[in-house]
Amino acid sequence: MNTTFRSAVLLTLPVLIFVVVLFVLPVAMLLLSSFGLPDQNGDVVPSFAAYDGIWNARTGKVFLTSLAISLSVALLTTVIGLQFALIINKMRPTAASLLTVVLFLPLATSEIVIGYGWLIILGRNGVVNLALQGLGLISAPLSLLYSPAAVVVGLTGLLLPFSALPILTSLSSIDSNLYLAGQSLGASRLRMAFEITFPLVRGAMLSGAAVVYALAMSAFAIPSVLGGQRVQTAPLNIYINYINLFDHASGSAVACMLLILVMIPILLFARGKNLLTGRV
Amino acid sequence: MVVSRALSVPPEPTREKSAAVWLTRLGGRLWKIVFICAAIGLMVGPLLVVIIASTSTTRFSVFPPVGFTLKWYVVAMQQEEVRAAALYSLWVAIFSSIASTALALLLALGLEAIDRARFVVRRLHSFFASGSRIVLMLPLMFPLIVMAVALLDFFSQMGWYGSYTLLIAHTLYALPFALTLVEIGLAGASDELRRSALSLGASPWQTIWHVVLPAARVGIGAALGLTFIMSFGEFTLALFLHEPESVTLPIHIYNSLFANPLTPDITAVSGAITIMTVIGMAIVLLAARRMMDGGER
Repeated sequence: MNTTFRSAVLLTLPVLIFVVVLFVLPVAMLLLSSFGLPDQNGDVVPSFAAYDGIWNARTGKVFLTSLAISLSVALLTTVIGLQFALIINKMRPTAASLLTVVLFLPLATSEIVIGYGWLIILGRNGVVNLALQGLGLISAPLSLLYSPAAVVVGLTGLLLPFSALPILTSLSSIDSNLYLAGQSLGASRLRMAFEITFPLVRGAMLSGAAVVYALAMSAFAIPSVLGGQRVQTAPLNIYINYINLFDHASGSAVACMLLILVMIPILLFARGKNLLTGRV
Repeated sequence: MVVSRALSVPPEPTREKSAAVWLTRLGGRLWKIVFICAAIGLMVGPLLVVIIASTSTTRFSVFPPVGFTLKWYVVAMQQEEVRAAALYSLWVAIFSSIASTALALLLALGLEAIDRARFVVRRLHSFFASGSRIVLMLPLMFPLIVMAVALLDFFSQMGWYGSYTLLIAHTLYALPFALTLVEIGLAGASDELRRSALSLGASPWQTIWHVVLPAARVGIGAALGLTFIMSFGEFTLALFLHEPESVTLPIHIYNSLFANPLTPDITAVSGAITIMTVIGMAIVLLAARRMMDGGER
């Protein structure tokens, strides 16, 4: 073993130990604890009792709500993100880079502040209700908050960059000669969109959608602020089990099921990709 | 003859555009502008609304605002809880950003050295390099809520209490992001620079200290800035791991939503967080841009 390698191991090992002890180990313990419950003597015996406790219509509804919200957010962000990226890609470089900066803003701002902003916008005296009343479309203010739709709107805005940025990256890396070749062979613009652009951005669209789905499934702040008590998603259910009911067994079982549901699409579609740029 | 020529020569584009073509062009451009504005509104609209509504003189924050005042920022700063929460948030953000950037720097240097030793220890290299990369990038894709619950269980089983539990959690959460930026920064220290330092008799550690780190300082600065912002506004981990008596600013906002929603002092707190984030992000993006330009030159 040469010295370079030895010093490399010396540099990386402390950090790896830090991550393994404080991240991998706790997660493994959480997974294990959901499959075992302490008996009268305090010894942990393997059982599926925690899962029996959550195998009911109420928890099923929680997961269905989470899935419906996350899948609609993934679909919406992909459609809007594709259109957004297509428009930006055709713009002059200065305008395009200015808009790309805007894409980075929601990535860094606090989720709770974004939720707070939506509370002001969508509230009973919010600007949406005022505008609708001003136009004479409605007579009394609508209650827009505390509904699945409000959660979908909030999450779509928050997660749009995760879909738009990878699509933009793959769009801008398309060789423009392909379009010249298509043109000289007499292809229409529609045909070029379907046979050149779409196959080349399909990977970015899929991995972006997988990341958005995963982040929407595990989002906590926006659903709890905009959904209130009426829209119970899986993360909210975990919080209630842990903090309000002190039912750690059910909480960890729900957390494990959420983890499985989140990781499957990520491993299928977003493997090895850089989250922000879409590069492999 | 005439037919073949008509097929081979494309028709001349007409100089005068018909009204229909002109209208579709205008419609297309209008649609693009409306779409871009709507998408941007969806993303940063809530942030703008928070900042603008915080200047309203009314007793509940409204948008569009009534009048203009900055007194709510003063009112918020005069509250004991807000000051305590701000200090706690700052404390966690400063130390977790330093910790995660330092760890990321160690890692990036180590991974780079492994890469350079790859011809000597090939099999060990691929195992170590790919293994460590998977472990390091795990917290990036991992659901924060599951991480929060796992850490909460772990810390209580170990009997670890206190504000440093949140510090550890935020360090883990920010580590992959710090690593990405530090690695881009280190790529700016070119191999020629390093080799000339080594050939002039500098030791490997001297080379790192005097050549590599100064060249990577923009990347290190960007990593510090980004991880600071991320920790300062982070909500989920803080909600599960905070101590009852000490809360961060995002938790203070969350708690107030149940008691008395949309009071102007809380809007001012949200506005202050937003302004801080925007300034911090601008600095980080400028640094990142400088690194990208430097890398291409």
